[in-house]
Formats: sequence, C-alpha cells, structure tokens
Amino acid sequence: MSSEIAIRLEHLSKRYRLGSQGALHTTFAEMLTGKARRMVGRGEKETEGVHWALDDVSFDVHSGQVMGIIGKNGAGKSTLLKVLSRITEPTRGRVSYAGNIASLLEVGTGFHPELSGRENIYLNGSILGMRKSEIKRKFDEIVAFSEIERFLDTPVKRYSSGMYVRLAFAVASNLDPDILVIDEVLAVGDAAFQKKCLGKMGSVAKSGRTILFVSHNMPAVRSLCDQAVWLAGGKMKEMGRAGTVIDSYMADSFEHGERYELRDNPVREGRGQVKVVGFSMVDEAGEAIAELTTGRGCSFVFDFETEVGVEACNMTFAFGLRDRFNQRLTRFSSEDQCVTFDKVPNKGQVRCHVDRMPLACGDYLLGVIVKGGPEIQDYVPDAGVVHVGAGDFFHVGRPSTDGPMFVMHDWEMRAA
Amino acid sequence: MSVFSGKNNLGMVSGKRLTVLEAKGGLSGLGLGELWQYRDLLWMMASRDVRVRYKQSILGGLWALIVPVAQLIVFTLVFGRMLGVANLSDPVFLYAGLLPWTFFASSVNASTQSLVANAGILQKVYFPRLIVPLSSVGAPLVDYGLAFLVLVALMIWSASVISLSLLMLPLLVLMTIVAALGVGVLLASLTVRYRDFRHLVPFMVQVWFFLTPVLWTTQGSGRDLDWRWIWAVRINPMGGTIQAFRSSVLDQPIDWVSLGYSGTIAVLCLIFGVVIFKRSERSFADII
Repeated sequence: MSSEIAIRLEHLSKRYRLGSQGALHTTFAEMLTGKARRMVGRGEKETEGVHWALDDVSFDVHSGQVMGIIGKNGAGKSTLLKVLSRITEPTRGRVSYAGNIASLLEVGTGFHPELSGRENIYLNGSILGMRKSEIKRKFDEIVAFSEIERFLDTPVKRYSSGMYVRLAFAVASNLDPDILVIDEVLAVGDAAFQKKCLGKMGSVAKSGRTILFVSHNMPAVRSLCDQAVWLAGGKMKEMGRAGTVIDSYMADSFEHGERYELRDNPVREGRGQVKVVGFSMVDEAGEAIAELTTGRGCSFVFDFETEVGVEACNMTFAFGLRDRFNQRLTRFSSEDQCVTFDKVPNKGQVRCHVDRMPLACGDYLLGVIVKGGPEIQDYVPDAGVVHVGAGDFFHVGRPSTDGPMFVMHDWEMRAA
Repeated sequence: MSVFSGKNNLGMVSGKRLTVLEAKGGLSGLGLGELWQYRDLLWMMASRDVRVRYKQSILGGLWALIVPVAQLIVFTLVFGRMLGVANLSDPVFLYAGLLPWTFFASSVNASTQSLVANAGILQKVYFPRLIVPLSSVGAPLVDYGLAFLVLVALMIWSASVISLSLLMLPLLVLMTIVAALGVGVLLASLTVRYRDFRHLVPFMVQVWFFLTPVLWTTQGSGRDLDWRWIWAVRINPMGGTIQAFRSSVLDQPIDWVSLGYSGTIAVLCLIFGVVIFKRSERSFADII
C-alpha cells in the first residue's frame, strides 16, 4: 500500500431541504406564493426542514486501498458517493482526489430498453466516460464477462434482470479509472455472478487502484476491504481496519435494530389524519433487526400517529416491496385479508408478521399506505430500502439464491 | 469544481490530475475543454435518440418524410386553394419556410424536455450536463436531412432555377442550429426548476411560428410584411434566417441586414443560454 493519498475529505457537509421547500419551488405559482409568504413574515425559517445528510466528515483514502463504507439506511453513504461522483455539490467542506473517478451508483445507468445489448455497451460505456475507441478495444472482453453473446443484438428490454445486471457490470468493470466508487451493485444477480463480480473487484484492487465500496453485505466488505468507515446520521462514527469497524457496527445494529424515520419524509400523499411516522423490523424472537433473511420469520412494525381529536376507524394498512427496477414484487395488505382496525389509538404500532420471508437476497424498496375506508390517509411510496440477506428458504441446508422470490411447493412424478 | 495539475502540497498522489470539489458561487468557466473530452458521448446520445425514434413502428424513418409532405399538402390546400393566398399556392415557397421552421421547433421542444427526460442518468453519473441538450438536436437534424429530400424533389418537379445561392444553405442550417440551441439550452435549465415551461414552451413555439416569415415573406413582389414591422423580424433569431433560406431556394436576393441581425441575436442567445445553464447545473441533481 502506498502512503500517498488518493482521496481527501475535509469537513464535508451536505444539506438538503425537506418538506415543501424540498422541491425548491417546482412551479412559478409556488415560487410566487412562497415569496409573498416570506414578505409578510410567515415563511418557514431557514433552520426548519433542513437535513444534514453529511455532517463534517473528514478522512483520507490512500492510493491502492479498498475502503468500505457501512452504515444504516439514511446514514449518508449514498450522499457521500454522490458528492464524490460530482453528481451533487457539497454544501460545505471539500473533497480532493487525484486522477479520475468512475462511479457505479446503479448498474445499467443510461441503458436504453429499446437498444440492443451491443448498442448499450457503447452507450453505457460513453456515459461512464469511456472513449469510443477504448470501448471497441475492450468489447470482446466485456461480452465474454457478461455471458450474453447470444443476445447481443436483442433489445435489452427483453433481457432477464440477471442478464441486464451482468452486462451492466461487465461494462463498468472494464473502466480504467484511478478510483472506482461502487454502491451496492452486487445486490442483484445470482450467487455465481456475485462471486465473479467480487473477484473482479479484487483484481481491480490488486492492480493498485483505489476503491470505495458501499454495501450492506458485511461478508463482502470484510473480505474485500482493508479499511472501513462507519457513518451514522451523516457523521463518521468509526474508521479503521475493516474487521474491527464491522464488528462494532454489527454489535450496534443487533442492539438497536434499524428504525426508518418517516415523520419528515416529504414525498407522501393522503389526507394525513393518520400518519405513518416510522417503521422497523423485528425477528421471530421480537428482537429488532437491521436486515431480513430469506426463509426466516419476521415482523414489520409500523409506528403511526393520529391527529388530535380524530376518531379513526375502519382503518387498513398495507405495504409493498419493489425491486431495483421498481417492479412491485409483493403486497402485504390488511384490506386483502378483510382485516380492519377500529378504535385506533392516537399513537400506536401495527405489526405484520411474515412466517417465511419469500424474497431472495437483495435490496427492496418499501412503500406503505394507510386507508380509512376507501380514503387514503397516508401513502409513503419510498419509505425505505429493506435489505434481505441470503438464507435457506426450503430448509435444505444451503442458501436459496436464484430469486426473485420463493414459494413453498412439492414435486411428484407419476407414470403416464 | 476546479482542476489543478502538477504539484500539490497535500501529500496526494503525484503525477495525476488533482480535482477539488467544493461549494462555489458564481461561474467557474464554461468547461468547454471537458465538453470536448466527452465528444463521443455527445455522438452516442444523439445516435441513441435517432435509433430509438422509429423503433417498433412499421413505417420507421418514412415518418420523417410523411409528416412534412402531409403538412405541405394541408397548408397548400387550406391557405393556397381555400383561402387563395397567392404565395402559399406555390409548394416550393411554402416548403422552403416550413422545412427549417419544423427543425427549429422540434429542436427547441426536444432540448427543453431533454434534462427532465434524462433525469435518471443525471442523478447517477457525472458528465458535462451540456451534452444532454446539445445531443437532443441530433434526431431532429436527421429528420431535417430526410425532409430536405422532399425539397429537392419539389425543386426538380417545379423546374426551379438551381443557382449558386443554394451554397448558402449549409450556413443557414448552422445558424438555425445555433438559434435552436440558444433557446433550448436556456429553456432546458429552466424546465428543471420550473416545470411550467413544459406547458409554456409548445405554446410559445406556436406563437413564434406566426411571428416568423414561414407563411409570409418580407421580400419580393409578393411581400406581405408592412415594412414598419421589419424590426420584429430582425430581433427574431429565426426571422432573417428563414427568410434567407427561402430566398436562396427561390434564387431571390438575400436580405443581408436582417440575416445579420438575426444571426447576431442567435449567437447572443446561445452565449446567454450556456451561461445560465452553467450557473444552474450544479443543483440539477438535487432538484430535478
């Protein structure tokens, strides 16, 4: 490992505005009314509805290091990567880095569904900053790595999600940056391919390039990274050898589980007399957990509050899980089961128990909705990203990996 | 963002370009060098739009011919025959105005929508943001090229004079691109912040159509314009350009004064548009 510094973060801070200010006056009318309100002195103060996604983070990454970034959802990991990738600008502080950065915040960024695999290799490669001649030179390698030779001239909208991810990772991993920034790209794809990706990342690291790797996949971070940074609430909680940091992070997670705060979530619809203010997950023993496991039992716990003086009755709760492509995979709805809640307390919890988590390992977007009769009271489409770790769904002694979803079933054979 | 090369005193990797990211007000250069580095992407995104445009349609690229021909027929029928407007009964006269205007209008519309349409990419990858509105004129330009064939066919059919003035056309096409980009780049960055422009722009383009000598002319024996209003044509970045386009095709003398005014205004529009764009691009990912 060289002692030269590849990336330096100095007091890096990033502020987002929440609530009605979050959209920064989406229409002229809103801008005008906002101005008017401020003039008569009833406007929101600056400090209200402000969220520091990153708060005074400073650290160095040495050249050739593989640095893991871990933390709960909303800890600021993705914001950090966005600042580093120049997608968004820091509010305060400074980032300096030597050489060029390639970032993989989402695999297949810029893929166009109508274009063929071949065309998308060129398109995606140039979006990631490759020259055309460079892509041409590496074309065969990319195709070989992605294992989609036969479908090269098929539009990618006909690809399975596995093929899609393979192609996308193949393009990205053939970039030649000095610094590679990766955000949980390995959460999709089958186990064999995940292994291949990890192997590729390992060899990229060995060639002396610097890697920043954000992941919920602790075994992967442990095996790939030398160093790790643990972010919590936008601040750096711990930094050091990957193994040590992961141990203290895990200990903390098991102790506290993970609570998704929804009170200030700006993207929501509904009447708002009943509001979902947060959710968390617990295991079969009722212990708070940070991630789910395929095949294990769990409960989703939603905290809600009602407006003062509101007698809520005939309430139904539902939540859905979507994959990275925003496809709804399943829905858990009390309404579907004709379960309604009357005499809802002003502050309370509703729990949904799942016997056996049917989803394969990966990240899923959770959206939650509360209705009073037919009326939507509160709908938060992006309440949080739920991570599901690999587990043994069929109780056969090995993890079930080829998802996206498992259903209990039986086999039999008969003579015709 | 600023880039220093050469020595640095941070103990950072030497021999590599050093990039510093920090909060900045004001304008930190137009980044034209970087734009040049990414020229392949410009090409890729333009060709993406062209390829995708007629996917899953039976007639495909033929649409680029059908639409202008149909438009020509409708306009000649309504204005030339039914309303008896003398100029507009000549398809060459009409088409020489419609052709560059259609390109201008579709380029302005495409680049206005371009950033919002590519929001997904803007939130995930860095590249010079100007590439997006710039590349969005690619597909209209290809349509323009195809629709130009109709003009050639019309000129042959009507046995028009093929004169040296046709050599002006490439320059006029370039000026139309400059005008379209100037307006489009500005509107693209405004649309990110104020979605009102999505509704306003198509209407604005329609009004603009009537203010531009497409269906009428400022020149020749059939002049429609009250000359006191010539300034309205001159401050219009498309005014002198469309008039000159038609004059070249019809082998009439070109109104150089109007062309000069319009051209200058188009260039100023582009400079202004790019400056506004660069000032607002830092916050695109946060508010799009």
